[in-house]
Amino acid sequence: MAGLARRLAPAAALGGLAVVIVGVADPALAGHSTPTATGGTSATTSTGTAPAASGPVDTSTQAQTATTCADGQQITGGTASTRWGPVQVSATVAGGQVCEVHAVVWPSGDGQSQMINAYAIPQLDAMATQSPTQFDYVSGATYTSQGYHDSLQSILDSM
Amino acid sequence: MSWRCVRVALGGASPALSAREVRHSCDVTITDTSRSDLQEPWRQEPMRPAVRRLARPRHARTRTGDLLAVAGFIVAVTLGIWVQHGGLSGLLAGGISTLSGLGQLFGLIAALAALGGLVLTSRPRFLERRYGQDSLLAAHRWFGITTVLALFVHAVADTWAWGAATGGTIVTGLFDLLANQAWMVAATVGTVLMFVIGLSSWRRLRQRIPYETWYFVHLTGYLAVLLGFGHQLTLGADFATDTFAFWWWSGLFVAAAVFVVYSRVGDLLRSLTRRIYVTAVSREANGIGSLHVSGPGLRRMRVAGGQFFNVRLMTRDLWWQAHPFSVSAAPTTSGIRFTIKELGEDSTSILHARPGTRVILEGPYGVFTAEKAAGAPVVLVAGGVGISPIRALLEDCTPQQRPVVIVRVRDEDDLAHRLELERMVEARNGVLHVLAGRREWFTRNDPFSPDVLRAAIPDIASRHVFVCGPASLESAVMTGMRKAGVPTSNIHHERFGV
Repeated sequence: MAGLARRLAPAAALGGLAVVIVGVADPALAGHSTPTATGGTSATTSTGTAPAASGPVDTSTQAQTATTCADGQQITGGTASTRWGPVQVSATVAGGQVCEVHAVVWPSGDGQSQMINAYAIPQLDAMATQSPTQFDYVSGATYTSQGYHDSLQSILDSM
Repeated sequence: MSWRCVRVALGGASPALSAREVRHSCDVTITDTSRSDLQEPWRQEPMRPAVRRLARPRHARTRTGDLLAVAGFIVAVTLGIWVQHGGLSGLLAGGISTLSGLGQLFGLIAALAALGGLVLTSRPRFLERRYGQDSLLAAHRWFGITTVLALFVHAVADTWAWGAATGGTIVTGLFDLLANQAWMVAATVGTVLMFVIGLSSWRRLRQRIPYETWYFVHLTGYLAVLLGFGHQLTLGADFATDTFAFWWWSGLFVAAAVFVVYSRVGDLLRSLTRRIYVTAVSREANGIGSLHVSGPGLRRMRVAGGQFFNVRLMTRDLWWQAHPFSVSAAPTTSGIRFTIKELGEDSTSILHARPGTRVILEGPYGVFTAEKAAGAPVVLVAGGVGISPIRALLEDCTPQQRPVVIVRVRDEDDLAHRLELERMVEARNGVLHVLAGRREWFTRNDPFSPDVLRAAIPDIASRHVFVCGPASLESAVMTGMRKAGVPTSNIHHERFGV
């Protein structure tokens, strides 16, 4: 039996260590996968920072929100990492209500991301502004949608 | 025919029956002169009535073409999903896209190879009966090597791409993944496990590690595959967004798991429910002994000469180790004999087993059987304790096969079962050559050089060759036989260990 213990030890140590590390450190299990809102200024320095006119913007929404949200407070959400890069949104909050949301950072490191986000970001902006707590993912841009959602959630959580 | 008839016909007649009554109660007259256990006196040790040879394993119907078609289909669908999701165009797009696409591709390869390796090592019957355990494990080795190498490329390329996409390096990419992405810690730990398993299986290192230590570490491979699964679904661009792809991929994992559980647990249950015990141990030659086992559990087993079992003695000290032992005589309902070399501490203590000790036999495994020769004449070559399966194979040979048996031993005293070999060879119109002597002598006078072989066995090119022994002997025989004109497909060999 001593022989068994001696031969089982390395494998048991290896397997046990693996399970413990995953249990303690994996974001899926440890529950710290949601980014936290930074409020005020955005601290991100990543390459994904949005150029001002990178996508076609739904002007009607912009105009609408501009009138109602004029005196609102601007809050920048936490950066959500996605497969293709970070996503960060900024929301205008007036009277305890989110009245306007727009992305400030999204993945644009490669051609495909630029293409996808060119149509996805405006749609997300529009949908999130209309209903910040529940909006559909844009098909074909699941990662960005997920990141968008997470970043916005961090703003909602901080309110 | 009824059992009573067989019993009477075999001579274990019950005194209550006269010959006339026997004729009356049996429809069939049994004159089974081909039975080896009747012709050969050493089998007529206090024989219990109704001894019969165990049935031979069923013919395997699996076809290599079918298996390749299934494997090809799985690979094609998976790669199709990848291409459809822009994997190929990303790979060709340059920059981060290429890096990321490369990582994806190798991630898919690693996962498929890992699943394939698991299926192979679970030794499902339809594969084992067709290819034999040693071929399956050899293939498993290649699948494992592919997994580890592909995993390395996948991890480096995708972490690098992530780092670049988030404006940093591969290092910041790794930290970002670990800190923020679900199941990435799990995947990383799984990758490290796979590397440890790969490293421990590297031949040079493997030889220094006790078998069971290596084996238990290898078992953590199941955990490694499981740990990798999560990130494939949350981060794998192909599976997170596409319902069909999601179910396809999950289905592959579930199918592999079903295979493993079904064939491993099935084998385990089968072996646990057979009641078999040690009946005797005997000494055969210098450093070689036999383990005799018997019990009611044998009756329904199907075994052929040349196959082996993983043998486990259920004593306090030995129950946790299984040893692959070859059957060394035609297995009958009265018992199975294994001939074993006293190698380490463990096999010595096995030869000290007390009669009555419970034995767990897992198997039989292997396709090193007379079936392979399909009735053609044969040459049987054994080295050292490799005589064990060769001896059992010889018993399955017919006189039409005129077996030529070549046994390589260091010393005449090392030759086990000599008497049995001589008698069986004689009964089958064969010849027995014993090559005893030091290795140095044989390296200068190679007994397996084509000229020697052709001179000794004129019809060698039309024979099937069976080799069992150390790797050096095996390769010498294979080379010599090929040069002497034996087609490679007619040379069969059984490897010791993996």
